Amino acid sequence: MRVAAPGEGTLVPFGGSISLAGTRKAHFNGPLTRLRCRACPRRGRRGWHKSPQTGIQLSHADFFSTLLEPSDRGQPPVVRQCSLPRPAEALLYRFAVVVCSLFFCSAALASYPCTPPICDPTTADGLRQCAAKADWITEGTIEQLTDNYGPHCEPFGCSSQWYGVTVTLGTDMKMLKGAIVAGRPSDMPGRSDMVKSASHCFSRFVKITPAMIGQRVRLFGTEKSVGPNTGPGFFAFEMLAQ
Amino acid sequence: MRATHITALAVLHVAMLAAPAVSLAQGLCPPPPCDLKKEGPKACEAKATWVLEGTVESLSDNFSRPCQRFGDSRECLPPGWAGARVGLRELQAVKMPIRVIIEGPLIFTGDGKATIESANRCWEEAIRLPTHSPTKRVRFYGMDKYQTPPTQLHGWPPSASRDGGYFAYEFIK
Repeated sequence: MRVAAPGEGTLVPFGGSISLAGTRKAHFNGPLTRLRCRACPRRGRRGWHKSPQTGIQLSHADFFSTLLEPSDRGQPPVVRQCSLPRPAEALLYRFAVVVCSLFFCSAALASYPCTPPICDPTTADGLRQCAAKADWITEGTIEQLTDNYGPHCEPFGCSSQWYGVTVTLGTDMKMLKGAIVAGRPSDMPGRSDMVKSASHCFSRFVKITPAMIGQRVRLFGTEKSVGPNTGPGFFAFEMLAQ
Repeated sequence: MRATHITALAVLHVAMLAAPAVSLAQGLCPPPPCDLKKEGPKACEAKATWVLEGTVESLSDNFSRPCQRFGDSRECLPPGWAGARVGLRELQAVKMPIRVIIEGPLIFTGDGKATIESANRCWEEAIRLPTHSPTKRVRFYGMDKYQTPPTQLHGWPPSASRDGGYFAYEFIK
């Protein structure tokens, strides 16, 4: 079966040669964006072919699944055989892709990098560690908080994820250690009373809930990233007596 | 007799504590301009100054405890949802007067993205987006005018006096 010749509107010029599935080489005068192949089975996939009678339309990737026989230089190549998968083969192929995707996705999820908490503020020893590891420590009454959500994308798709919390402390806020420079929300750089959490990875120790509004809290923070998916902000808090 | 007396006192105490908060919260909130479920999209679109469609990129839920000082005393409502800020991409304007683009309350960043805010804290049930909204396609119905302020209650300023925002939304498939 002959490929349509240049000028017929089905073969657009470009030069060079392409290896076809490691079997043969075909020389072209143009990019083979369309070629005629009346023997190909009808496929519903868009971009493969318009109809089995009139011809097929191949994308670059699909091109490699079609065997072409090299022809004389300067002449359009000849299609020896169409190796487009039959429906059963295509189904099997898709099944294999889904199974492989699930395997790799679960592997990716299992190895999703999340930095372990810096300290455990629920114990007295942990609190001492938090204080020692903190670049800054601040105290104040929680006036407002903002929970931030955004998309989290994996190879199989995107979902929503809690990214962190921004806490607004009252005018009674006081610094016990260091200074907060980078641990503020980026859109509120000048607000001395706003502090953001360091990472969603530390959600167990940074998730301040609306019910805590009005209570006094002590925040332990870092000015730098301490691992994957972390940044400046508070990494632990301690509720204080009212 | 003594037990009844103590029970009555306890009930009165609870009523005194609970009643002001409830009446304040309810009294400060006017009804939303339209109910999407009852009235349908057409009615809401007619009442909206702007209608914008977009894919939710980020969602920020704000929580606070509104307080007001009256002389020496300070009254506070219970902590609660105070509004949302939504980042959108792949925008599609359904109804968008030029004055909204220029004057706000929407903030267009110029690369097919915008940031919008909820109209006020009053209509939480109708306008608070679920936290799984990011990546979802949503249509927002909004206004750019002040709501008619409700009657002030016990000296509290009206909650619904913000200058615009969305008052209804629906997910689009």
